[in-house]
Amino acid sequence: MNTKKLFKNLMKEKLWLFLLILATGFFFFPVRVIMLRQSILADIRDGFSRTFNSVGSVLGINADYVDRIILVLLVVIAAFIAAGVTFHYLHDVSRTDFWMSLPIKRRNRFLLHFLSGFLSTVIPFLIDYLAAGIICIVTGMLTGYGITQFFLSMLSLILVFLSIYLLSCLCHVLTGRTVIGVLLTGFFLVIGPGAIYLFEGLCGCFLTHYISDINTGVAVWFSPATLASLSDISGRIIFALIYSVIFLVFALIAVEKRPAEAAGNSFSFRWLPLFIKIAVTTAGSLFFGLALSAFGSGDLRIWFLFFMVIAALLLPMVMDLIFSMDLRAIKKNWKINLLSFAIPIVISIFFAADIAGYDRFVPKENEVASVGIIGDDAMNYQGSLYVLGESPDKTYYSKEPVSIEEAARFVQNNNPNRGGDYILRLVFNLKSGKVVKRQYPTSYDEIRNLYDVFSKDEKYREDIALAKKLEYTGEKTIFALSPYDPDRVIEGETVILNLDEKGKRTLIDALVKDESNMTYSEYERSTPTYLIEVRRSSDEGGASGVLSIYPEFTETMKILEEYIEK
Amino acid sequence: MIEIKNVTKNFSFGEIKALSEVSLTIADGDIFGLIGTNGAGKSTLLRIMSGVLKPDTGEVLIDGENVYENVNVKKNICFIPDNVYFAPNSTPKSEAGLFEAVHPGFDKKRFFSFLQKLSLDPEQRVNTFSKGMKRQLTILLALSSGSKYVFFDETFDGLDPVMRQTVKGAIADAVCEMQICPVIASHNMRELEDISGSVGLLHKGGVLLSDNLDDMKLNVQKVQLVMKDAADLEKLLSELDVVSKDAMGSMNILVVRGNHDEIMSRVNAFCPVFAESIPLTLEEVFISETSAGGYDLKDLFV
Repeated sequence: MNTKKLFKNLMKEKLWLFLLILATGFFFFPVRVIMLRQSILADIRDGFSRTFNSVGSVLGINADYVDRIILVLLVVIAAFIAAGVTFHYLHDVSRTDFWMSLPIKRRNRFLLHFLSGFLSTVIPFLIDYLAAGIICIVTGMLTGYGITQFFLSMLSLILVFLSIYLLSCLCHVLTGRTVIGVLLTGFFLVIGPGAIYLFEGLCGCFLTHYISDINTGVAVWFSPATLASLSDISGRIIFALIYSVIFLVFALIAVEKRPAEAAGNSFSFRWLPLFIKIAVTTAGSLFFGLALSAFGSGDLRIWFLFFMVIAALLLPMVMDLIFSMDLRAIKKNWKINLLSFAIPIVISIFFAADIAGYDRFVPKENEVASVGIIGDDAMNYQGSLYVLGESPDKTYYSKEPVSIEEAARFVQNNNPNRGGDYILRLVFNLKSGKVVKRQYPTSYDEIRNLYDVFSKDEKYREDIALAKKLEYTGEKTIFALSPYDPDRVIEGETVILNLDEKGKRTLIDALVKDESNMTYSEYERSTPTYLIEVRRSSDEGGASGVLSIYPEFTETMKILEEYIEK
Repeated sequence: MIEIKNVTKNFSFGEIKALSEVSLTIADGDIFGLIGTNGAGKSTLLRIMSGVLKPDTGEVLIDGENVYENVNVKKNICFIPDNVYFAPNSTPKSEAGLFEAVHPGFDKKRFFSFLQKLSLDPEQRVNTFSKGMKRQLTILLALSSGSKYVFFDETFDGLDPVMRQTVKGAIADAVCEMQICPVIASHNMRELEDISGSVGLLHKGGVLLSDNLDDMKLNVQKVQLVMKDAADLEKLLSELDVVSKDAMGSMNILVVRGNHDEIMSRVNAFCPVFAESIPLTLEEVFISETSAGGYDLKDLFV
């Protein structure tokens, strides 16, 4: 067997795929870069970051939201087409007969096909991507750091494609029909992030006191498809590589075990339909229940159960029809269908009956080290100065115990059915090290009372001062002062404060001190006079924050006097 | 030599039984015909013999080695299934290139000379070929592959009578010149009868019969006779193991299971007006054997 000749033949068969990717990539990368060139050249005079952001968006280095979605779609579609074309031979009896009768080991045959599909897609992508990169480098749109990021981004996109392509290959090996292979790939691509959102959705639907303790941002790590949307290039590379290795190993195992007679059947293995049916019915019915209940009125839980039950009944039957194209399959598979129907019901009951006791949590004073309040959009005005925001490193207020008795009493009085127009979010730092977060629908008065109790603690106030959240990063931080004008009727001028580094630091310290000197009630009674905006810029992008300046901010006002007079 | 030992194969996760305890031996240098009822398992057996399918139990040994996932054995096999796969936009020339890549002994010269003889254009796209032309092409590819074992599934389907004779000649030539061992599965017993030395008869997933074609015919006889009166005929029929009976006027044509001499002596005992034994076709042997195996034509029309 002349493997080289065979591989050449396979590549020749996929020439159309090569040309399709080349043409798509040509318009997506080099042409777009050339189109950007005129506006970017003007930007170069203003500063590097905007140029980098524009080019980065096109090349997937520092993509904005829309570009990320387009990139993800392109990578996923390319992987679906490449895998579908490459492994169609597994789903066609005549092709299977041809390939399986050849004197070549299954594993090598798989790798040969896999490589032909991979190269037919990646080579044209590389041509287009490198062409775009060269244009950017030659015209000065990419320099230094940008060039390194360009090559890293290229590697990451290839690896993300590889991981999705391998998953798709695996799914085509596991199935005997291309359409089922494609559906299975789609299912595996969404089930990771989907499971997190389903869990969140169910908790939100059934648990009144539920506060998400899951960083839904991590959902993107649970699927190779969403990896492409990450701006963290090294993360993309590492995770895509891990996924690729896992999928390759599974695909090689599956190829060895796959019976050739699976061609034309829905699935290659006996256990797979059961697994898929249960997984799809469970995820699908819960999803439909949550999604469609949003259109209902009144108690959403009833709507959820209504739509979930209908979906759980219908989905296994729909799958039977897709898998077998035969209505009799529904009757034949009634036991599996019943099991598929029962599992989402059991899961829903688990949440509806609060079997884990989430909503019944009442803190015991001797077990709680400290209590904090988590900010809420509804209280974001003055109240936000007195709540403890969620810090990025997930550490909560945990110094001196504050008002545990008061918080415990509050929780005890707020059973799930009590309700209210406002939401109070509490975080309990238990002595065991565990952090428990709960939210309570309640009245504004109750929230204010609790805030006042909490705000008696000066140390607490200092810790939650908003000014502490402003990242002071030296020269590139700009402080802008403007009059406070909620109705936008005063034509106030914004003044950029001419502060050196020491001045900026002194101002931040004064703000923190002034903020923490006022109690919640004092804030409620007072009205701000100025706003101070802190803008920060860096090569990776910018950030800004706005603070209200109250007349009681004596130390801050002293520093600002000079500018206010102006 | 091909040895098929107790091969069992089920499909649809055990729901469909395709082959059950099939055992056959195919000697080298012979053209082996595989015949059988619809769904008897002929194609399945060929696919197992080519290493495409893995038998559930049993094994297929070619030259003493198991064929499944055995690269060395598969080098000597060329399998031409009923529906042959052609790469998109392929031409006979490009197909020759593909076969050259996968069959090291592929004889390009022989292939192109065959093409010329059959007036097939090497540059014409295969997807513009008729069914018969595609069939011709696959046969030529197989016969030029240089493989010792060539398995054909429904080879004569779609070929016109002239082409059938040409193909039969080409297969016979290849056996003589290259000592190939073709195994041909077909419903067309007339064609198999002309070319096959031995025949395997599959029925309901099992082997009813596997023998040299001439030996096979020894156990079934075809007799045409004219009896003096109907009573004698009825009496004779009751004494014989009759597979089928036809009548053309006073002439009766019987296919009878049994030894030639014994049958003729019984017939002659009734002093018929006329009686003679005539050659049996493979089709008649097939009907005879499958009816014994429970596949009775009469049952189909009850």
